[in-house]
Amino acid sequence: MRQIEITQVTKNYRLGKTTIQALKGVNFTVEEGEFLSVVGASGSGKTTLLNIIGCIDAASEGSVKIDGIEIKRLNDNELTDLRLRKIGFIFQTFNLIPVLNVFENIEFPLLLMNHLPKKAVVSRVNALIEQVGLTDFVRHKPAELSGGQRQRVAIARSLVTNPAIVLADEPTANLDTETGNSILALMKAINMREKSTFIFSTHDPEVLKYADRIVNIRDGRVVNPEPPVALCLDGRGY
Amino acid sequence: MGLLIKIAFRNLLRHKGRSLVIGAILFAGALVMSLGNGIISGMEKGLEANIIHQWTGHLIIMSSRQTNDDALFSPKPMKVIRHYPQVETALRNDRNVRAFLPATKGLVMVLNIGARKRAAEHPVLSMLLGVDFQHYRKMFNNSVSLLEGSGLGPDEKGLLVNVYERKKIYESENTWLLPLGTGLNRSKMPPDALSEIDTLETASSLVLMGIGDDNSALDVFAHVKGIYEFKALNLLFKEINLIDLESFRECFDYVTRAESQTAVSKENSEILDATEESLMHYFSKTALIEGPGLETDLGTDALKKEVDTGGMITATAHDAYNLIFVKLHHGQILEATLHNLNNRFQSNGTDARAVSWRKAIGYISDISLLFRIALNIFVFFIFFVAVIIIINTLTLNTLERTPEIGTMRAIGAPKRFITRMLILETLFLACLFGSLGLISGSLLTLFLSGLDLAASNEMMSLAFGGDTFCPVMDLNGMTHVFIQLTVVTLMAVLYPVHLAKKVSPLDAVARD
Repeated sequence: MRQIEITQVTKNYRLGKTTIQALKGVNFTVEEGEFLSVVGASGSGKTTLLNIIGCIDAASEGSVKIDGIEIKRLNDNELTDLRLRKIGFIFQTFNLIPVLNVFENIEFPLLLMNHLPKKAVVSRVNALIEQVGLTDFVRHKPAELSGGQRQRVAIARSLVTNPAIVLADEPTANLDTETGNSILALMKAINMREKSTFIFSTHDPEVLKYADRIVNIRDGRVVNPEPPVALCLDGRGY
Repeated sequence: MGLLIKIAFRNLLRHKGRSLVIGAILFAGALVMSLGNGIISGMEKGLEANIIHQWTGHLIIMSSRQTNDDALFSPKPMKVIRHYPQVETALRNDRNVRAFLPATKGLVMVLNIGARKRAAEHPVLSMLLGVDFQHYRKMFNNSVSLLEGSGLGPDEKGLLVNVYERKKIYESENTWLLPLGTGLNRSKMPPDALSEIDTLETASSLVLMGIGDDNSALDVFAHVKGIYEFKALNLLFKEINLIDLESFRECFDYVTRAESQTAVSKENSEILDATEESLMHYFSKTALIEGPGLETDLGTDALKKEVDTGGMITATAHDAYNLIFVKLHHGQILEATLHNLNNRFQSNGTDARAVSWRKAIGYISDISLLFRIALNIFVFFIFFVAVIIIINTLTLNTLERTPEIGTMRAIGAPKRFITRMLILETLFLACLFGSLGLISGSLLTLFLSGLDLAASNEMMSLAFGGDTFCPVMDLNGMTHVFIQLTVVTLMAVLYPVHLAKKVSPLDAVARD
């Protein structure tokens, strides 16, 4: 089932008197439950694309539909609600709330939803903590965790509301190769189990082997989607 | 809410230095506001207690021909209220009126001291308040303290001189006033007077001439029966001397038509026709007999007795007053009663009008208002500075937390969540440090109040609202400070909240 439809999306930024076109008429679709990688060099527009899909930025032109809803027609409150209920975010820099511990960071989106019984919240959070392997760090604050552990917390937080879509912007960029691989493996496993759609951006060829499909973006345009193995082997440096 | 409280509280602990800076400002602000409010409140309460309850009452009624409201301290002659019986009826029928006291007020020239030594253009002037002394004490809660001599009994004639007036007369005329029948009380005398005690000129009787509109006032001989002071705010009312109503009316020629047409004997006609020079003979020190038995001699009573015998005169006009002090059941009904009475006087064509005590005391009220304005400006200034510093600190805090706020927004926190979080953080500080400031300010107010700092001049008396510095912090005052503090907090948080609401979810990633 088609979950995301992106049609002729452009994004312009003004930098002083200059206008920079980050996306130039991007078209593609994402099916439900896909594990999709957006690949491109730095500045190619992949983060901008993820931000637009995640409703934290707006396209200058074109159409973005999530589950058939045209997101540019939604107001700020509706977009906030959409992000809370349908989209999970995993940031490159983890973006945990520093004053909350592991449990509370993961619990945070559920409390924003404001209608779940306390017991259900605790059970859901504990289950995710176990899945990401942080059972021994429940009361630790982000500052007391390693990069990999923080990213695991971020993954758990992104999944806690059972979102239909999880967006991860270069989730392994700040991690060593081994930790990066384990994070990708974890994301893939959750994708298989929860059937959530995962879209992650990367320019690390090592992580592409986990992707079901790759969207190759260059200079703000989607160029021929190629199978992951071919990309990995052609040595173009992705 | 639990999540908000948790985040707010932990954020404050995380940024201890910043929290302490804001807390210290809120503490200092609350302390100064408490003290400022305590002083303002003490001044208002002091003025109310001392002026309304011991001096003027809530309302003053005067003739409608009296154009100036500030009649109590104005040297201008006051008009007689022509329809006193109607005014009395109106006051008795008004259920808001608790008590009233008719009186007379006017400026007199003292003729038998100073005038012999000085040129006539520098007379000794004194302000007289003619009252029934017994009623006066009852009406104004025994506000007069007799320092020497005695008060005035029922229907007793005489003069009670304010202790400052006696000092003023001594300093200008070198004459020490002594209550009739008393000796020199050394403990009450200034060093200058003590140093010349052997040659000190004393006087126990004064010849007073009322200064009226038409210059037709009479000269009256009055015995000094006592030296007194007002128990509170004597510095402000030091020029007021009390006299019996009868003497005042004689002095100001408040006589009935029958009296003005009285025929007098030939002998007394000569006295009345005497020239200025020969009058001075009558009032010169040698002509006056001091000591016991004086009452039966040459005073005006003797003259009137003689005239009364002729059956031609009734006395001075019994209902001639130029001033009525009115006390109400409580101050809240002042404006309504004022309005009602004035409407009634106007519609009945009664020669009377009521003014509030604040207007009646004229410049005292103005100066007190200035003090209050100055204090309020000071408190507002503290308020303003606190707001600016807190805004600045909170703004920096918000800017530093942009990625955190952006992240919250990105993962689904609505703007109202961010707003509540910031307000709650500041309210936490306001509650904690503001309460400490409020409590400290209240304790400081109590401490200062307990010091009994005395006012040394009129200005300080006005600033203190009494003779001692007595700031007051009660529940009302504390509520007032609490509200001010809440307003400060909310005002201070407005701009940082506005900034925080402008943080986009994109800021969660844009800064990285």
